[in-house]
Amino acid sequence: MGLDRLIGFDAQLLTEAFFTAINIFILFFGLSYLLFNPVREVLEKRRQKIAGELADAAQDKKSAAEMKAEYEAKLKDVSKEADAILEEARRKAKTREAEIIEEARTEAARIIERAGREVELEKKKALDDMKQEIVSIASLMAGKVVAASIDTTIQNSLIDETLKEMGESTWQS
Amino acid sequence: MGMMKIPMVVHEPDFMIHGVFRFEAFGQELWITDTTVGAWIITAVLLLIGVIARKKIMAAAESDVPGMFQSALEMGMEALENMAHGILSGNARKFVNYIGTIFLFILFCNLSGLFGLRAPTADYGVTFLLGMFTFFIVNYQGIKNRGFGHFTSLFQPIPVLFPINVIGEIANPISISLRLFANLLSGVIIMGLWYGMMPWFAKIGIPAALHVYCDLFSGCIQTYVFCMLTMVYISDKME
Repeated sequence: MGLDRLIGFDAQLLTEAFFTAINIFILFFGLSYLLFNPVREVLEKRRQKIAGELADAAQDKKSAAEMKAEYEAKLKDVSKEADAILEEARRKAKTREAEIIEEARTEAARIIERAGREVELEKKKALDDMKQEIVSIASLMAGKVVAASIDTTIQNSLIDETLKEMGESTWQS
Repeated sequence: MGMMKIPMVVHEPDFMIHGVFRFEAFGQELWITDTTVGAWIITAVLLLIGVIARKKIMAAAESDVPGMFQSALEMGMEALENMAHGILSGNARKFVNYIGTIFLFILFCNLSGLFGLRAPTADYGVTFLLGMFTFFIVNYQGIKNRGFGHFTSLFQPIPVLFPINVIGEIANPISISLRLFANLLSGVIIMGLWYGMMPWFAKIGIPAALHVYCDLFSGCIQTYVFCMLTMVYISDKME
């Protein structure tokens, strides 16, 4: 073995430095390519991915809140609409009620009127019957009274006279 | 000389840099040393880890759930980026790869003592180069960000301080390279002395504690310190 030393400031030191420089250069480019840059890239990618996912989550949350507000508004509208429909139905029912009552009243009035007319007719009919009866009775009585004394001509004139005396008003009541 | 011999010595204590392969260049007799070989081994190991990592990451890019290995890589990367960001703030991105490279290189060099290598960082040739890289990056950033102001700033706050400022600039790379070198060398020497001079029964169990301190603790601390100081020097030139 030709060389045994601890330290010396000579060409051998520069030789060591030269070899070390080569080593460091190789290591710098080698490790940058093999180790540092890939690892940094992975970390950077993950950082971006997480940031993106967080942003997505925030976006989802926001849209969910919007949807919720929308649905709540819709639900409120629905109950309002239901109220309106009920109100409308109630109003219609009331109108219908009034109509029915009105109709019933009209109907009743008509029935009463008709009944009154019928009564009137009955009454008239009864009076006619009565007049007929009176005429027959009168003629019968007159016949009996004047049977012997007067002929038919006189009898007829007598009847007419009697009738005239009874007057129009008596017949047309 | 026989009288001077200590009977308990089993081997000569060995903490030297050894030449492995001799070659001639520029009229000089130069050596490929065990430091260089160790650094090559560490470079190869790191590149192998890189290849595996890239393969795993590319495969895992499809599935979203990272495995154990990928999680470890990601945690390491996050720690590195946080460290760089803490000091360089907005400019951290440009330097993360370089800081990560020297961090891994120095860390693996420091820990290689555990695997029977002579730590390459216990050779001043290696740490000197690392210090010079820091020096060049720092001054390049200074000129890039301030232009001529990089040099006039040496005369501030008063021109009389110019020599001190120059020394301060030059002392930075020397101090960080010597700090790293000396800490690691002291560990190598202590371990070499212990393994070389202690009787066999002292080599069982006790060196574990020494390895924990000299290689693990000191190694990790010095790695961290070197990277931190490099970033601090760079950030000084960023304003």
